[in-house]
Amino acid sequence: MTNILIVDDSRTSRRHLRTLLEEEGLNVCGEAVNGEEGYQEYKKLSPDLVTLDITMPVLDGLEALKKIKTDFPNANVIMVSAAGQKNKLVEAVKLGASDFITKPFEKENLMTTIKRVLAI
Amino acid sequence: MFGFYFGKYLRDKGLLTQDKYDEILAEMNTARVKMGLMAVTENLMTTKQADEINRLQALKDKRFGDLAVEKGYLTDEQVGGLLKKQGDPYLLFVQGLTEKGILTLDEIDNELKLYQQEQNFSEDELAALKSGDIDRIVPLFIKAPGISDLAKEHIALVARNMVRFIDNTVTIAAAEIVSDYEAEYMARQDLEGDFYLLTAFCGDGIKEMAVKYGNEEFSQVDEDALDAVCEFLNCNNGLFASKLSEEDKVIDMLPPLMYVNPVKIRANQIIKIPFIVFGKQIYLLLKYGNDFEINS
Repeated sequence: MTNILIVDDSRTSRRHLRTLLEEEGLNVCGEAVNGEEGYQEYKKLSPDLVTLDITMPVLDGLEALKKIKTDFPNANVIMVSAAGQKNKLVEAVKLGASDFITKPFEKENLMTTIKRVLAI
Repeated sequence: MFGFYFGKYLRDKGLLTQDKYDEILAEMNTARVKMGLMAVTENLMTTKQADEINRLQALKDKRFGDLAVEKGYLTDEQVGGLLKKQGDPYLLFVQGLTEKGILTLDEIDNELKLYQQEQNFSEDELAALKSGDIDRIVPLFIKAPGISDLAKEHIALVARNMVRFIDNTVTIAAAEIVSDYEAEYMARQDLEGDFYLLTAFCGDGIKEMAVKYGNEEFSQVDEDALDAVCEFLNCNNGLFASKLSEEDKVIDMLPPLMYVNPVKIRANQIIKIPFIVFGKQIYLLLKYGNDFEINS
């Protein structure tokens, strides 16, 4: 089973994303509400994939991405952003993010992205 | 859209009951089919193409027809034809009033003149309201001096998203500039970069907005409900930032802030825009610059 970690400060976003993933038979193994917590959860859970929101308190998505990719270069990371964060997404790809999805979530796009990243 | 404004005026005057108003709107909604659905049923677009345009609408602040033309799925002429088939919202509302025996055409004409005087609308402005086109309607309500063109664009964007994501019967009222505002609760997100901008939603309709956008029941306005409203704010601000980036302006969105207790904001020029959502008041607050005080 594919295990996914959701890192997003918004409860609404986490809830929407979890629902969409579970409807597709994917397992959400954990949730974190900021980048630092996300990094710690990643170390603990070793998920197949992590979704990282860009705008978060404490440690934002880009900083969390740097920490995760430094310690786990093969980590599969999908960035989550609102529209209008193109510059940050470009930076994220340079830092090693595999792909990105945009809020509000759309199931078909979400699943296409996940399948492409995990090659499943 | 015209019916929401003129309908409220008629209800306030006791000329139209809420039940009859709801009936007319329900009939109008049945008559007015969404453009995507019409394009598919008329074999002008495939379902996949229509879905793609619906998805793009969440990323780009553009209308269905404009995006479909951009993608080459529809021509300008086809969009024009579909708009015609959708029907004129003004005529549909008037038809509802007369067919139900609520007002005669002469009475409607008379009330319309009184409404125009009351609102101080020119003939062109009344025509804009009758058009049902939100891009023509919003400017009628953001005429207060001191509202920049950029702020006007932002307000129009929020109004379009209110229609798209929250309540397609939303109405906007006259925006005003205030120097302080006290809210029972508030969902806030600031943007910083080439300029600083505070954005916030508050008002009695926060719960209804949260229920709709969060697709979840909330019994009260708590952090979870405000979180859902913050996500809607974030969606609007993302589209606004996207528009700015096309003009080479750089702006970043900061993490949202939620106030579950009374909060007071003081500043020189706060733009306060009232909306009615599901019959309740929502205020959009915009404050350009970081020279504000906020206490909760």
